[in-house]
Amino acid sequence: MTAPATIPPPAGRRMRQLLGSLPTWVVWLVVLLWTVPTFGLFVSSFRKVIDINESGWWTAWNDLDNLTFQNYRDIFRETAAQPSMWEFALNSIAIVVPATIIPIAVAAFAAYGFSWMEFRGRNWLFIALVSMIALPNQMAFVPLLQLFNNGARLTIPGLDWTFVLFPDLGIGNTAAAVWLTHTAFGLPLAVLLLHNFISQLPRSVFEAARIDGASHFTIFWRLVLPLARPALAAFAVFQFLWTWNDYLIAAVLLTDNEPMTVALVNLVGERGSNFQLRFASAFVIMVIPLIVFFSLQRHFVRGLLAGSVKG
Amino acid sequence: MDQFITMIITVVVSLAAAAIVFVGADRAVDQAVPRWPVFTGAVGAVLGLVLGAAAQHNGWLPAGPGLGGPLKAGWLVILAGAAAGAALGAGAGRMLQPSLDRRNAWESRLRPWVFAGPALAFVAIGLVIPGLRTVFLSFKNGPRGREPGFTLEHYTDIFTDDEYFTVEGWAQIFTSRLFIAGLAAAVVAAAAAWASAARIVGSAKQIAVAGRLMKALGLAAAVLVVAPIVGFVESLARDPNQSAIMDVLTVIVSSRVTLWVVVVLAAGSLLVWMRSRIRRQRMELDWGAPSSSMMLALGAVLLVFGALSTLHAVVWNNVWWVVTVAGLSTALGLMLAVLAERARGERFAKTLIFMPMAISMVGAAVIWDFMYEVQPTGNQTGLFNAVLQGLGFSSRGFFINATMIPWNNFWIMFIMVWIQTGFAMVVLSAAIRAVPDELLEAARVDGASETQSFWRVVMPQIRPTIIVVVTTLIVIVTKVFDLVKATTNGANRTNVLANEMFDQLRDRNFTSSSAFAVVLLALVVPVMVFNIRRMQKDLA
Repeated sequence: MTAPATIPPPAGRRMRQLLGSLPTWVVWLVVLLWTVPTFGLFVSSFRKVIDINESGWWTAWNDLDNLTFQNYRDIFRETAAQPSMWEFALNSIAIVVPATIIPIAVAAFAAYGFSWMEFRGRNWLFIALVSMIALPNQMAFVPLLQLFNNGARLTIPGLDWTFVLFPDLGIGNTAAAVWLTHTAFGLPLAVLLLHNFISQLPRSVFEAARIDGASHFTIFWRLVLPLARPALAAFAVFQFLWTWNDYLIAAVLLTDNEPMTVALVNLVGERGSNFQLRFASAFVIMVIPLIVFFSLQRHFVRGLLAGSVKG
Repeated sequence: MDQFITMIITVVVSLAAAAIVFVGADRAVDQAVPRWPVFTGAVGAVLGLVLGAAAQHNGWLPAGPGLGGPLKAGWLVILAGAAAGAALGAGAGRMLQPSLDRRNAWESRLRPWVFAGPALAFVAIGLVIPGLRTVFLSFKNGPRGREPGFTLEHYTDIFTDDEYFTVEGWAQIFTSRLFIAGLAAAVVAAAAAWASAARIVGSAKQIAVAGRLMKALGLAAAVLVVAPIVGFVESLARDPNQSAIMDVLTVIVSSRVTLWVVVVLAAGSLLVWMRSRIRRQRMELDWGAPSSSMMLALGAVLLVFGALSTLHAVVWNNVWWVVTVAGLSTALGLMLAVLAERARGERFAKTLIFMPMAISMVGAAVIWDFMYEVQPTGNQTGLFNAVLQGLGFSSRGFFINATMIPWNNFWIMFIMVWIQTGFAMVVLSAAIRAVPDELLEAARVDGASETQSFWRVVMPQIRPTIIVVVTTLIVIVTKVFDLVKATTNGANRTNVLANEMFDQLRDRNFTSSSAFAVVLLALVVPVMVFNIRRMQKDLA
């Protein structure tokens, strides 16, 4: 008797429940689309050439015995055509470590100076420095290439007198050239991130330290660096990912001792031969950034927010 | 391994040297007050060092037996310069000691430069001066810029070559299906803006008209949203040229009748607006309403897509990239940020969507190249083509098929959207979280529905963040390079400015390479100016 009366509410509730779970469905559908490609690459990196060319990676489950580590063994083995991936990995590390440390050190000092020191033209200089974030890197390549390879000379017109402005240090085509370039390109963002953080530290801390007779250097070393550690970590993660994943700067400045990204593009270029190696290589390149990303995601997000959301 | 050890040694040495220089400079400034001559001596030593280096490298020393021999080759000249400078500086400082006040002033004036100086020097030498030199080089004669004289040739080469820049076929924009649909969406948006305003502040008669109008507009909007999606799906499933729905749409949309209806509607709404302006009635338009702002966004997207898929040249392609990726990533990121708040497993889902940010563009290119893979015969091994094959449609080369041009660009752009959506989502969801609860509470008390409070309360609050996300994406996407390089390398009309700049650099055409860089810069100058204005406001 009460049945007809009670039927509508569950239907309505079910409808509402369905609508309520709609966001979950949509979000997880996007998650699926966003992760499947990477997963497909991962599976393919364990398959044989014949399998890759004849069936999709999703069929790999049918015959798990066909999976092999051979591709990984191949990329880490030195051949006449291709050096071992280890070599490229070491080149990458040789570029990334200094290219991450140097900008942090330089930017931390500058961020402190711009936040807590009064000097003429401070705002103006800060804006000029930070606005360089938007400058396309391409604007600097030709002159930097010339600077690293030949130094800089100025010929005074009329007098025909050439003057060495910057000596040829012989760092063309070396990792050092890549660090210096990464440092210059990374500094504007680094200064912005660290400045946003350091300038928000409470003023009273600095005033108390000044009254106690601490110099700027002591304040920076003893107070600012420990307090700014989250911001330093945030930028370090940022710069690490950016330098590790960089292809353009390395491709422009290096013709040998290239990092892994350049090696991968060269591998992609040779269609046909070594086709199966690119999956394993791409995955090897991705492993370290992904580990860093998943373990230090908190810092990475903080860096993003500090860089884009004011404060 | 050798390289690795060299790297470690170089890093340690250069860091130590930098630390010594920095601490030395700091200590030298410390001495300005208590021991002035020490300070002037240090300044003299630095000046002498620079002068010695300049003399050594320029060969200014007479080539006599004493000076020109072993001394000239080595570091001794530089060191001698430093020593002489130090002695001179110290002597001068001892003779001319300024008052204590003046020395204090020196100290506090110089100290900031010790801290900010290294960063400024790096950016000046690594970015600003090279940037200026690139502009200079782009006007120089000859491929290497060594020949005397200036020329505009490199720019005229770009803007007269049909491959790089052309407005040929611009008239086709107006008959492009997407463009007309976009125009229609813009008209719907304007009408919705009027109707929404009328329902809030209008007279009784206006409210009645607006209510009826809204219903009609809802239908029109549904058609405008559904038609492109269906067309898109269908053109995916079959070749764009064989799509039945697209054929019907083409007949409908590109027939003269539709064109005239849209044009008359657009002119009509313009007239209504003009009339109210002339009568000095302020026409109330509610662009913030969900319906009008969504239709406006849709209209803008369709108009831009229609225009940019018709024009084909490298410069337009670059603009298309910027609009598509910045627009899609932001819209998708915003949608996900809103939905994720209500979804189960929010944190995990967000992490996975965010993950492509950690993958290099080269890696992303390999991943997606494989997704789009096409096999001429047999089983399809690329996921997308396998799905098409499974549904009984013919396979296609997303990047390489001639029938896909210019939409092959879209499939490369989508890789960038895949990478950047996570960025937009994370930043926007932080902004949504930061909207004060009191505001939402107040809106709820006033009887606003969830949709209303999102569009009327949250959207205005996160507007600055949306702008930041869009400008950041514009800057990133304008210089897109790796993806195009690693997928098509610019073949089949997918070239972009940065790739062309790189190829010219590889060919050692330094001047025309510089010209491409300057064109690239011109595209981001509006963003730079906007950012500078914003920072000026923030710091003031």
